[in-house]
Amino acid sequence: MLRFVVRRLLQMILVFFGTTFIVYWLMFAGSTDPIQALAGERPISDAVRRELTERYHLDDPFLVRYANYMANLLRGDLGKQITGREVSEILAQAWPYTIKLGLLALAIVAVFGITAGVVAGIRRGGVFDNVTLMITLIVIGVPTFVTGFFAQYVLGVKIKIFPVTSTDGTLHSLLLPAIILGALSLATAIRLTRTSVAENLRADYVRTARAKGLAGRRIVGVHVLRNSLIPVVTFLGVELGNLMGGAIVTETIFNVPGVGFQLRNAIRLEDGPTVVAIVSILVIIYLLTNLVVDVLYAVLDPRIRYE
Amino acid sequence: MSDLTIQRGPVPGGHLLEVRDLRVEFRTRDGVAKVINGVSYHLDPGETLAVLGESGSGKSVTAQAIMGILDMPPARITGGQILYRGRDLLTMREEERRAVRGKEIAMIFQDALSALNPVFPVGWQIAETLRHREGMSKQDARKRAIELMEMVKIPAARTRVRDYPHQFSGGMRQRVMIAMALAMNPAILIADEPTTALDVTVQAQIMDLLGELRRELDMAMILITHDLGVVADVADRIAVMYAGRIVEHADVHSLYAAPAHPYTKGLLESVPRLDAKGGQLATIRGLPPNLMRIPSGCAFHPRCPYARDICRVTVPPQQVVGEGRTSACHAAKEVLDGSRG
Amino acid sequence: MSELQSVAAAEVPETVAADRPRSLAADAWRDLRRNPIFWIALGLVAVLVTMAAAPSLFTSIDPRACDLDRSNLPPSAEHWFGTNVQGCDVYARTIYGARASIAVGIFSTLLAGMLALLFGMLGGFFGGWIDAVLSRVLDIVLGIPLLLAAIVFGSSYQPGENMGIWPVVIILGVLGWTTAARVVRSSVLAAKQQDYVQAARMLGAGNLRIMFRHILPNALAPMIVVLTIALGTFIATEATLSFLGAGLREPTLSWGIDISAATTRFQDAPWPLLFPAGFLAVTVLAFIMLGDAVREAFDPRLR
Repeated sequence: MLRFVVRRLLQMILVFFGTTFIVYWLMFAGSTDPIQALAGERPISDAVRRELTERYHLDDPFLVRYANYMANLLRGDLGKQITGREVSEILAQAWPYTIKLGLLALAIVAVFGITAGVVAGIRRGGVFDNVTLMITLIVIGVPTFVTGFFAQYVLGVKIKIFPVTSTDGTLHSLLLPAIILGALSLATAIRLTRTSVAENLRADYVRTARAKGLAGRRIVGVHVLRNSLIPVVTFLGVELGNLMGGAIVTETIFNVPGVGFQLRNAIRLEDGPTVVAIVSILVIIYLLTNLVVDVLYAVLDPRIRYE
Repeated sequence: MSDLTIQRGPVPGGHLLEVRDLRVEFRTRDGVAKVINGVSYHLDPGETLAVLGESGSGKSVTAQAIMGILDMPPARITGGQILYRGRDLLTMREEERRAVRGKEIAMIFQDALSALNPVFPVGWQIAETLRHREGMSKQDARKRAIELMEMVKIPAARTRVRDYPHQFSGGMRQRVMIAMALAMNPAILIADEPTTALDVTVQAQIMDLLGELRRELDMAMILITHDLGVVADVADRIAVMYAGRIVEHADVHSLYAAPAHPYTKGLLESVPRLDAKGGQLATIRGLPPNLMRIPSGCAFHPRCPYARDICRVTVPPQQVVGEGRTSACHAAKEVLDGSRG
Repeated sequence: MSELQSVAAAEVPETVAADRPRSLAADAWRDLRRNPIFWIALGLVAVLVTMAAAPSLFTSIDPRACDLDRSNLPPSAEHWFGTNVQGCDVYARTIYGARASIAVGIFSTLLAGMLALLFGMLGGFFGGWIDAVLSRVLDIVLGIPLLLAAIVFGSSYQPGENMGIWPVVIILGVLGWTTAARVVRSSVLAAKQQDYVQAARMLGAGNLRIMFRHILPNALAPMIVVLTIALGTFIATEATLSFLGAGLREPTLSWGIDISAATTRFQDAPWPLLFPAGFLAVTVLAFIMLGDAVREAFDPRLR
């Protein structure tokens, strides 16, 4: 098990550097004028230009600049925005919103997704199943920003159940954004659980459990569920990383001042340092959650443990 | 819950288990398959009955009907009775049926790897019925599980009780299944092709084990198989099935010495023998029938070397051809004489 | 083997000539034919593709003929869907917008498919270090969720030159081939073990021949299923990118751009947003439903 974790950590490191390099390259090497990229759309005087060149080592070859940036990143220095503010400061303020939003969405997905999926899986072909399939299909099909926008309009502006924007970060104000954010994952979770449960219900070990005279509730609740949840739980683990990424759209629509919101602004203003910083951190989170999920998978499925 | 569990020992005035004229259909997308068409057999305490037949003969479905674990759609029981200690299981409510299942009549299956739950340790699975149906404490159940594993001769039971099914070899896994089935001391063990998935030497070990356990625990056994070789040492009586019917029923010695049905005869002749070198392997020509379109009259007639006109038209009744022997063949006497001569 | 399966096995075709062939493709097609969702989705897709290919069949109004005096008008006989904030006919823009969205979907799917086939087959077939490298590349591409990566890519190319849909196509294709590649790879790995591949090898077939004649057909089917669903997702992603300002740019006509532009004045004039959004939803749904129906028909485990 330890070897497995170590091997995955090494892979992670490789992937991390690969991804951040690509992102850095895109933000800084793609533009013809790196200094202009740092400054966004504002014009630069010669004096400022010289100072920036010196400060950011812009005379150095690209790889060196990347290496410097990475070194700083790992020390916690995320650089400054074009406005001069420390990126890390901005992010520190923004993170709590995104984390709350992400966890809330994940909780909704887990509770409702698994429950609905189990019911649909047990009564496959029934009314609940078909209705759920239709609804999940629609949710998967309609892009998040469309559903988010409509939800905001209908539930926020017209029928005022939820606040239109969530700048205060209270749980109530984050509920609707969390539902929208989690909608796509919820749909997938339901389908995944349903398929998994339906498959496991036909497994040979279920026949054995029945032959042992066990009660139906126990057979489904213990034997089938324990097997069915393996792919679902691992999916949920990966989803947390996705939710953090997908929060961009939701945070934009609902004005949640989280990391996604900052990222979108940074992109619009062509604020290179912020974009790279945020994306790098999100990459780390994504990789870490993937690693945790892989370990979790081995914990849940004894057949995988002894590789 | 019921009066079924009180006694062990001979059932006054009847058999321990009796299947009477059982009929089962399967409804599929393409039609109705008549899987069991009037099967009757019985089992007495301490006996071993072997049910012999090819895939599709209905032998497993009969066993599943006895256990009550058939998937009721698409299966449907369209007739007959299954009497355990004189009470018809088919007319019982599900709770009563469940009381019998596993406790009075237990079943083991062919592929232990898929039949065992992969995510729970074997000790947990063996002890499960003890904890949840007998109310044993966890420690007592665990101790009993280890005892059961030792009874089926799994080495190092004390440590292996925590292992998972995939960590055992095929033969050991089958022993785990046997231990699990015996946990509640059933009166009858139904073994559905217990050795088909195993190597020949392991097969022999498992069959020996089953034989020993049966004697020690004074258990009756129904052994379902297609393998004639496996049956000879272990069975007292044999019921041969074809296309959902019993075509011959005899004690083991008589059957092997002189079969009274062309199908049985064909089966015996097709077993390769060490002392028959040179010459071709004998086969039964043709293929098993489509259960949605069973041939008229005797289902075996298209493949039968003794077939005559009546065979195409009339379903042969069970003819008594000896002491406790029946054969469902219009030419039964002829076949019997042919085998003896 | 369950009794039902042995019942099915007992239906041996050689004895009774009237039995139908039981190949997976035949069964799947039979299920598909009976599935109303399949036909609805197929019909919708056909209409939409026609709309994309020949928009003039659906409207004679020029989507770029915009009159600022007639901004944000509600639907009328002259402008079926009303006009948007710049005075352009919403109906025309919606019809013409289909072209960009669907073209992006189709081409990025093609690109993703080619990449997936290439990498999946090479990695799965040759194994060893090629496979290891492929897996690492896969990991890196998967390192960020699709949307994030697309945003970063999308915002970094210079908006000056109008390259039409191609930047977005390339972005989506290059970032989206991973799931399909995994599917191809596992099909290849499974097919490699089959006896007929060993047999072909023993008969002297070279690697290329084995790959194309024996393994490719097996890898294609599951990949196509994944890609049909991916097509819908790509269209949705493109719209999201445009919404965030990182996708298609003016003067390209797309639903995402129109939706994004219409959000600010939604309260007064909902139509410029509703119609493109509706068309977008229907398009994505149609493709995804189609892929879903095909997948359910082909999945032997759910029979």
